[in-house]
Amino acid sequence: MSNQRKILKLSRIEVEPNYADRTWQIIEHGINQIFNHNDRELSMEELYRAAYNMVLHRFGEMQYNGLVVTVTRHLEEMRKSIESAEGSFLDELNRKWTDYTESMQKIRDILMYMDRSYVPTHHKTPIKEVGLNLWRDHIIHSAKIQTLLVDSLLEEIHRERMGEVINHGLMRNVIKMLTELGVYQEVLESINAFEDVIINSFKYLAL
Amino acid sequence: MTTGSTASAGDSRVETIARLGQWRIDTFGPCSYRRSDSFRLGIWNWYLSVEKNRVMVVRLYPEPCRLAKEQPPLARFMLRVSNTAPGRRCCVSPVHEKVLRGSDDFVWQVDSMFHGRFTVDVEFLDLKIASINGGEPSPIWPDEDMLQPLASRSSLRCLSRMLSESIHTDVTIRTSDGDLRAHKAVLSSTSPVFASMFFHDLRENQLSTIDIDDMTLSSCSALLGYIYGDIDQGEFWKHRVALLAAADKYDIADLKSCCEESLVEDIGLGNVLERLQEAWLYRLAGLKKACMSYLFEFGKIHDLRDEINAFFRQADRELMVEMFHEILGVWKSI
Repeated sequence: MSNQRKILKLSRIEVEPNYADRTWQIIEHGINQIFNHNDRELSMEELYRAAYNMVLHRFGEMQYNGLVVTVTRHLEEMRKSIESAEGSFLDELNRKWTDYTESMQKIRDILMYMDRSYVPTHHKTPIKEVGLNLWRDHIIHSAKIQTLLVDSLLEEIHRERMGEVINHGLMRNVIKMLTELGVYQEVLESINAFEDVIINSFKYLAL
Repeated sequence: MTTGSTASAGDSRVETIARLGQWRIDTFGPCSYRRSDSFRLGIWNWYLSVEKNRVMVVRLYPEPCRLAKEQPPLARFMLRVSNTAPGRRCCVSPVHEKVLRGSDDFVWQVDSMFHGRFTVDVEFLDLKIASINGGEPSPIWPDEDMLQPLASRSSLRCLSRMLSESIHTDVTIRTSDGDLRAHKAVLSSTSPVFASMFFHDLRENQLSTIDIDDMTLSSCSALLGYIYGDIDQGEFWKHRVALLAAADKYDIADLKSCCEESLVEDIGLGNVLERLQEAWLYRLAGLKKACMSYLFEFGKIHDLRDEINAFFRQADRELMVEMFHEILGVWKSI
């Protein structure tokens, strides 16, 4: 038996004051940069390490809630910009959706440890699903966007019937988004020309 | 090469190549029966025998031993008897497919008689291990048992050379005290964290550099050693706590459980509290259980009074609650 047993020392992180707040600020800054397309200078390792250590030292809940708040803030900005889009509404919606899913993919990878550790042990919704839910609640469920969406879809279908060439790729992306969100049915039901739209939109999905 | 033949005659030996066995009999001698030396084809040792009475009979059978009993051969084969004398004659058997266990399982009566020098050929078209309990026979050709380990060894050798000789490395790892070179592809296939780092177009991908400030050069090179299949026990032992942390961080499950097992092996008075803390931090159920049992069931906590006081002052509440329950559990059972 060793005569001088060392007294256990806890790691630096746990004794550091405001550790969790300061770490979350680093991660939040990273998330903001990603949403602002200013992420080429960001270090994934640095952000991942910060997020990893936070969850490891049992600050998973703070990270999880912080994520929801930060993403929501960005979604509110996106909502305004989609609602006041000049030019094609569907174009703008699709552009923002593509941006959003790409950003969320990066954020999810940075917060991978939370998905792996905190989410299953605390029976939380995984980040991917959280991302979809937030987009649905803040963008698709906005009354203004919903009206614009239904009108635009109907208009496109009408234009095609009149013999105009429409952007099939765009239609397909928008309908795929609605399917992924699980709100396709919901959107359809708010349309009077119910059957028409079903028939036509299946055509786009099959393209 | 020695013939391994018996004293009877130098021409008992069966030469083999690929799936063919060939027995050249120079003189049949005075007796009416000859048996060849055993020869190996597939995983079995075989015998051929020729019996000449009124008619000529050829037999083929595996060496009677445990192997032939437990894994009897299911053979598809044909035999040929021919003489080399002028006026060359030759008898060919039909193709047989049979489970061969003993000398009576296959008997071929040759249509004509051969005298003087002649040759018996056996050609195996296929060999399988017959199933004893009625299942599917298992093929022995192609021999995967030989190929797979060979291929694994060869690819391990390649991998470790890629690391040790820095062959076409494409990423620099900057540790707290020095740089290492590695391959994005290898790192990405080991860890989803590295994979995502090189998937997105952020700084690591742009600069082909990862700053791993929380590892030292020596522990990071132990990590790479593990990833590239080239790490010795001593190095692993020395760095296992750092390797545990890295395995948890980069989601390398097999390394993590290997470190955990190793940390369980040498729990002692000097390290049990540290180990418990690590087990709690990295959520290692096995290590935690072992530490708790060392402390409480085996009563070693009594030898650690001073340390345990300091530990209780600092340890996480969640862990303290777990320890408390453990103590209650032990009391109950007394």
